[in-house]
Amino acid sequence: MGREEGHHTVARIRFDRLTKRYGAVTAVHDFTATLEPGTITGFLGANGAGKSTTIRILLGLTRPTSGTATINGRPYAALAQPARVIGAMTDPDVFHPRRKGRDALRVLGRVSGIPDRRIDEVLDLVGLVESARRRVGGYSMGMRQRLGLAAALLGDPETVVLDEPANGLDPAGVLWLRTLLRGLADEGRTVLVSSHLLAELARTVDDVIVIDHGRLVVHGPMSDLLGTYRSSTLEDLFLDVTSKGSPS
Amino acid sequence: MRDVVDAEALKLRTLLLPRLALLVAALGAGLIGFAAASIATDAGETVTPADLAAAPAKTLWFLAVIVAVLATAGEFQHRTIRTTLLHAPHRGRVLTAKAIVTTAYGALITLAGTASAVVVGMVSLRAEGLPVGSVAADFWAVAAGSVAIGGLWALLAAGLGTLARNSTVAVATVLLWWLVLEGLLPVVTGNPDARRWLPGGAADALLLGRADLLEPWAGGLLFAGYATVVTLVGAVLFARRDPA
Repeated sequence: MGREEGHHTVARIRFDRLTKRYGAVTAVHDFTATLEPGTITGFLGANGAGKSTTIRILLGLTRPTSGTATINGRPYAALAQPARVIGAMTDPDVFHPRRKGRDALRVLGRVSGIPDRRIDEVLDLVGLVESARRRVGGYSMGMRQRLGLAAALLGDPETVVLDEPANGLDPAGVLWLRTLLRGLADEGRTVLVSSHLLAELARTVDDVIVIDHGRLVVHGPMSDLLGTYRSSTLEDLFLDVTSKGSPS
Repeated sequence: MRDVVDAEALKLRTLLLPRLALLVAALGAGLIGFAAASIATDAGETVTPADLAAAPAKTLWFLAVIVAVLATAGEFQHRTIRTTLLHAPHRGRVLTAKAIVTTAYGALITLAGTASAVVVGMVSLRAEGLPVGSVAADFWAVAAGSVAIGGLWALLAAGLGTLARNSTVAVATVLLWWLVLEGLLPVVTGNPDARRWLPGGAADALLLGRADLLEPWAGGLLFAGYATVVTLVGAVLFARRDPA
């Protein structure tokens, strides 16, 4: 952190020529991008475009074929207490159905020495205080998303990475999520949020990364991109820059 | 490292199955101790404390296997391994913590069950006014051996769970090996003594001296070797493959 590289400081999240192949299929191809602190970056792409693979590599869950993904200049596995640096949610089905919601967070927090007080704080933040003593198996999809968000925020991290966080949330939940993300970015945190639901992201993000067939298509502030591509909405922009828009 | 071990122990404490296994171990082994005393009494034989300690061993080892498989294969099935690794990305540390906690829990289950079988068995013999064999060195050897093997069975099962990534497959493999293959292999290979070199035979060598098995110390060492190999193979694959 704070290390100078040219005239820029080292960014919180950096992908450098990242490539991932599964046999003959190239899921991510030569992907390079840098995320600046204090912004919400929307990570857009169709299902199967390579969003989740890119995020999983960043989080050390999948090994890249070549290239690097770093947080504050270090790969995920080199972080001593990652939960205090980067909070992540990959998908909502990562909790044991027979464990109580609060216990699921206690188990995770134990590794990073997170006190029970902080667990109650994040449960309050995501609105799960009343359900926290019930087993996760009885939760709705939206509740599991909220528990996943609570897990991501446990260590009060500077960087938050969320893969499809709006899935399963009702309209009120989506509004709540937007407010939460904006609050996190306003506190100076770096937020990367992926989605294939464009309307939900349009009103939340500052920057946009579009990925298509594993390749970076565009990356920049949403307002600039809308102007450049003369698109009126994020949806138009997305369709303009990806192959989905071209008649086949 | 200590935090990772604490977290693994907390995982078992926040689920019902490990506590249930401990309860079943204590109650079930008590019943086995009672039955062993009654059967021997009816046959007019003297029952020693060592006999009572050996009686529930295999049942207790199986309970240890189930809890250990839950701790490793269960993480892949419920995909909790993802969040586990997000908070503790050093995979070697996570597996080491799991090995420590499952071995300890396997030994605990076996200890609780063995104590229960011995106490219930001896009390029921006394109540009938029958002689109880003395608590001799062989009692301590059988009891300690059974508890150690309970821990090692849990270690082996945890490694198998890491390999299989599926609880049903891991438990079925243990059962199939134990109940079918170990009986079949000596016949198929035409070597009736083969069982003494197999995991189940090596473990059983610690219970009560049997001519067809190895010496207890050799059986224990051999079984520890099996558990170590399975654990290491599981660890190598865990380091290489993407989780879930």
